[in-house]
Amino acid sequence: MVNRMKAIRGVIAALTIVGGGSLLGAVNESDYYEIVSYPQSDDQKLRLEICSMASLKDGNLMVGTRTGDLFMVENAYGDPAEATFKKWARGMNHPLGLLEHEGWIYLSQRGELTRLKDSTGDGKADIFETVCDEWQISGNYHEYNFGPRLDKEGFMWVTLNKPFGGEPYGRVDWRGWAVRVDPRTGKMHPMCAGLRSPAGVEVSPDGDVFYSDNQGEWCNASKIAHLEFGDFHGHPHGLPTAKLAGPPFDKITSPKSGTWMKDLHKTVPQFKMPAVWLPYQKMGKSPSGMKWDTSGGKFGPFAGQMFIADQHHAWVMRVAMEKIDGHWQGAAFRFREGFQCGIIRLAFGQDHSLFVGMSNAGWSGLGNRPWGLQRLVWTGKTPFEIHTMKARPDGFELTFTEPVHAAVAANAENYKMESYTYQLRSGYGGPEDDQQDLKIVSATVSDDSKSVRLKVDGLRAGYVHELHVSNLKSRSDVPLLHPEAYYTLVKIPQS
Amino acid sequence: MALAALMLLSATGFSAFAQPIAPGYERFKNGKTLDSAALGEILLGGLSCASCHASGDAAPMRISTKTAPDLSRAGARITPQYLRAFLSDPHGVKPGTTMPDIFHASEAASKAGAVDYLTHYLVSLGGPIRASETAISQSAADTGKKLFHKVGCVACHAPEDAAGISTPIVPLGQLAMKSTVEELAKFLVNPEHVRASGRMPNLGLSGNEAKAIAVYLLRKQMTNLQKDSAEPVVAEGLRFEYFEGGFKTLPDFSKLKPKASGVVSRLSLKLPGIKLKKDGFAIRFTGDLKILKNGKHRFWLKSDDGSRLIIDGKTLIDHDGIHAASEKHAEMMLKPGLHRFEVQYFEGGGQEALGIQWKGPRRKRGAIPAGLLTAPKMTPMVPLKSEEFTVDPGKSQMGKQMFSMLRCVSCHEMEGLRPMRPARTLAQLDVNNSIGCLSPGIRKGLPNYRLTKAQRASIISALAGRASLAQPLKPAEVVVRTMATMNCYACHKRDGVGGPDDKRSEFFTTNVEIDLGDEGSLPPSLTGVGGKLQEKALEGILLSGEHHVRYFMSTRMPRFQPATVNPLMAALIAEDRKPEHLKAPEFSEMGIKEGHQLVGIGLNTLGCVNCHNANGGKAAGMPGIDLATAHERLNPGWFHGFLMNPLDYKKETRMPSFWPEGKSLIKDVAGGNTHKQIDAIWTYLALGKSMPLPAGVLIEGGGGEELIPIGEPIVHRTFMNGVGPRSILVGFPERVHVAFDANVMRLAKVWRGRFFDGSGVSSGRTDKFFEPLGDDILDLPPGPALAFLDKQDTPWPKAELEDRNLGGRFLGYRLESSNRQPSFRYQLEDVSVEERIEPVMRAGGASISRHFELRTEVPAQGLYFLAGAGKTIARQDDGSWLIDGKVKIALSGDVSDVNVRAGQRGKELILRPEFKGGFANFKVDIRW
Repeated sequence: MVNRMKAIRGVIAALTIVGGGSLLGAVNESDYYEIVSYPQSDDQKLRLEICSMASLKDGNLMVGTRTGDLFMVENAYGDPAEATFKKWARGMNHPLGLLEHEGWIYLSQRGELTRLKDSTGDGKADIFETVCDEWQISGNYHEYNFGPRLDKEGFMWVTLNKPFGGEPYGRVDWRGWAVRVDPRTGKMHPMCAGLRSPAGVEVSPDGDVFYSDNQGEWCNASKIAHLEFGDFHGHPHGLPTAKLAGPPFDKITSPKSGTWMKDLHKTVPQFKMPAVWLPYQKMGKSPSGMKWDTSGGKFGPFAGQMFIADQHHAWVMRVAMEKIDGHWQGAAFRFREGFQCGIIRLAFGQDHSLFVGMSNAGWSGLGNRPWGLQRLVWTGKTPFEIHTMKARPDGFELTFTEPVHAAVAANAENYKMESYTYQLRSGYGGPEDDQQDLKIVSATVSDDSKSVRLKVDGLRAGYVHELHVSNLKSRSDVPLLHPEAYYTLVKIPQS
Repeated sequence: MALAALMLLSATGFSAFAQPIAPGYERFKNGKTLDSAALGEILLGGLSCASCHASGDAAPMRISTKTAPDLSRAGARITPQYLRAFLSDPHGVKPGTTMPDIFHASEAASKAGAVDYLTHYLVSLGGPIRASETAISQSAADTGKKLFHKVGCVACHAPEDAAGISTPIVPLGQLAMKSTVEELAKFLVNPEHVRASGRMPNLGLSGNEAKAIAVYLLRKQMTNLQKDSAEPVVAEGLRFEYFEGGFKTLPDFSKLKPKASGVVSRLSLKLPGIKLKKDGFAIRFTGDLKILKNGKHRFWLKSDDGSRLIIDGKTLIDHDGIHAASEKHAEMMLKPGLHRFEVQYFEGGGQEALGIQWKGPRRKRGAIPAGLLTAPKMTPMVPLKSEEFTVDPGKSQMGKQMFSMLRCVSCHEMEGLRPMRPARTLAQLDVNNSIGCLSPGIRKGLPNYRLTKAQRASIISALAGRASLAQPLKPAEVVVRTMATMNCYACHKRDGVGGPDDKRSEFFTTNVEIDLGDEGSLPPSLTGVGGKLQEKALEGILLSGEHHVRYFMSTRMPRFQPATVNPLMAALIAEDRKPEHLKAPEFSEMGIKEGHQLVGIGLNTLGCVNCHNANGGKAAGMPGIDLATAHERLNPGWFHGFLMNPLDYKKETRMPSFWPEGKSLIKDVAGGNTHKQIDAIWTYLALGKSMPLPAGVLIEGGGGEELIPIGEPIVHRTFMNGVGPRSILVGFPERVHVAFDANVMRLAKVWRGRFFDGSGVSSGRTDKFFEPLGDDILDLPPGPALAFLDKQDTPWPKAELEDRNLGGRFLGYRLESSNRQPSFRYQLEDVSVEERIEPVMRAGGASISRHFELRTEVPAQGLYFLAGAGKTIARQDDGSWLIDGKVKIALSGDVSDVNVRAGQRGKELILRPEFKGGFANFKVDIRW
């Protein structure tokens, strides 16, 4: 028996993918970011299948659940056992997005964009107003609605999932679109076509709108993409609606399966390349909620960057983007794993900690709970991380959260890079394609030891550039917490 | 690289090949998987070279010879005209055939004579083929087309639209000239009876499926002009003719031209291969009804809208006109024998239904058994270019001699016949001679296979090493060769090789709603399968085509022959299986308990049953492979490794690793030890059919999460059947409940008793329209509650499931602060509407009052309210209205012009809201 177990373990050890710096022993994510759990998550009656969340100005947290309840969470910041969950409203049809705006709670649910109010102050909503219900639903489970997110012009963005699978399944209008609604008039304006399963939509501090999409048919790798009026994002399901949307959408032609995404603009000029691809398995499986770090440093060293959750991997990733030649692009990094369930929503609390709302929602994910609420708190220690990865005409520049050990960092052998890309296919998902190992020509450490300039042979526009760093440590001998980065190089800067 | 190879393949194009197609050769001829000699060996087998060229002493282990079709019943299953044409020009009649041309260099006259003799001989074997008894049926052809493209045929053969295919296509030739539906169907059910080596494998088709596919493959026979002079045939079931038009009563069918017709097995609105128009169609069913016992027969005819039953030309039941689903009955005396039977039906709009039942002497009320109905004589399918043919015994005798002399019998074995002169053995062959099968100038009398230069080169390189042909293949080679030869690669990948191309992938689909991506539709990869599966599972799959664990896949696993399967299994096991795959954990009660917990859903579980059915219990999310099958299919040690890291075993799997980096996230079970946890799961699964159900699986009809309104109403949005995707339910503590349709602004349903089972929302992925939980369900009339009509008799607007805003724009609802009863608000043009529903307690069950408050600033000219609809509406003494004798409507408040009018399905009770100073308030009481 013992021998047999040893044999099996041997096989297993050989098979297990070892990834991530956290295994190296010296450093742990939990040293820098601590996960706070709420025991109420285990309450079967509350059934906290969280799929929407808003941090309210009064310091409370509002969460919406898959079964249609909205809970007001009070005392969320102190002793987690003291937090209270009060049912504020019920009976919503899959509330997937919450937003506080001008005294109302705005809510994306299947049928509509709704706004709610507790007008009597008894702790329960009593006004349920339909703001906009101009899109269609046929009754298919995959017809989710996400958002609403307020843009700089006062419009609310909503992204509309396309149907999937068997009956009921109707080909109805506006599925697979991003729209924005004028909350003053309730009017809907089509903005972008070609979305698949746009589980996250978020407006950056500068007013740019981004969304996350889940890999599947016609979206063959999960991604984050920039939404601008007139864009097409690859999935042809919603194109028949373009007739209603009018110009410029009515000129979009259906893409051909098997086209390299980087070449698709030649046949479908409205196609928008992603800002960041999230390679399957390596960077999660089902990207969901996103949040910009607007803490100004109170949540650690990543102010101005974005966090994105994954509904399968029960982790939060980090994204740093830059605008090159008019196109937003950038790198994704691992950030914090080990939450209790696949994550759907993130929300920054008033104290700049990060609420994490979870539900497996009928899928399966990592973690030991089927749903729940947790909170991620910065311990005040700065992790040694790649802070940003920026494209250069002949390579990349890495900046770090701490000065690097210059001798190690200057050794080009310590960096491995490969690149690959994807085709747009009608099939489900797609492989990393046209892979190439790249040569790191040199690594030059800056005078302040806070950045390293990598010269790389054979950069290719339209490819993910996957970087693995080994042996690197900080000046104070701390190993890199997450030594890999995934940069989606759509544009190579000219200078 | 792979892409470049693919592009090369498609540039060459598979469809127009005239050279013989051996799929294994075609798949790999431009790749690196097999070298030229191996490709040559595949051709030596695929072209049955060793059938003529004996191999000498040692059996050629490296050649797997394809058995030519068994011709012992050739005449019974193949038409004379096809035999003649095919023998004369095999490559012309069936491009890609592996049948060589024997007469390629013969003079025309002697060729014609020889072909004639051979034709007479072959037809004498059980022939001539019997005329087809299958009637022309477009619907059968449509069903066959679907099956052909779905069950796996097009993995090897060309789909109807073959553009873009880059993997080998096995040719079918001119089937419509070759055989009849009956004979082709017989072949499809048991292809190995004719083609013994099983390269055309058995797909486990039922007789009906095979027949439908045969009708589809022979569809050119439906337009064959010769059919008009053929003997008509009868078919079981009823003949149907389908018509479209705007019908309000049953039409005179004799004046209409059917849009489609065919045979249907029983009276039903499911016509094979026909998508009924939503509204506005009619159907006539005709046939003969066989009566077995003399006596009185009673028939019930139910329909929505009109229908009529005619027996022996006499109208027995007339149920014509627009009406909701309702039933009529009548009786008649019938004598034993055949009686002319006709049912007419039409659908005007809205819902539709049609059904018939009967009872008779010693026969209880029920459906009419299919065997008692026969469709009238119809035109049969006739093979193309049919000719009268009588076997001439003299010619047949000559043909028999030629069959032996020309060495046909070397490939097509025939009892009592031997090849007259044996060909040279493989060892004796001079591959460089200028007159042999491999030379460019093949001698008269030798077979011409139309080999390409490359094919010849491959065969020559195989023969160059012929001394080693008797050397057995290594297991890895056996696997690749078998998968190439039997075209397993058409469906399966192994070690990154094979699998359908993008175009063919589209034909692999799922039967049920299952969010499994490619795993749900594409046959599994066979990488490592010898380590994964137990022998009996492999055997079951390969020999019997067992594929029930992947019940969700449309494509079927074919059955192969033991001669193929046994060496393949041995090779897969030798190649893939490691000793640790077989090691099972010790069985323990503790293991069962821990495994049981881990598999379920809840605290400290892995939630396996989110995505897997378990012992018949349905998965909470996606109904994937049933876990109770694991112990009889999988090797326990393989299972252990797979659970540790599924992606290492199956690149395309959606099965996640629950132990990231080998560590358990659940510390409270089995000490948080990963291996112990996996062993516990296996131990639990090993219980198989006696596995206790894990927490969280769905059991039919149970485990609900009932919403029970106590103290205050529950407002709950969902999808409800008959209401729509924007249903808003209100459950009252008074145990009377309503469903509001926020798509078209109408109260759609009311019921009593239990309210609603909310568990559907949290189980699975909310993928259906739900039903109320209670009783006394009353459907209120379709269409919006309020509408502007041009005139008082303008038809009420009709609403379908996806219609929007017919009755106004929905604005939401508010809850009263006192009792939290909702009032729904919507805007119809300039009129704002508020409807509050109030439960009213009554003896015999609560009922409801609808309170309307309408407001407008401009006069609401032509605004009407639809208070009720039914077949009959009668005014009662107390001023209320009785609908269909059971629903009572009482109106009060600002109403005028209350009026019963003719509606689309009977009567409608409408009224005009009476505005005073811009306001109209009225109340509608509904009791039922």
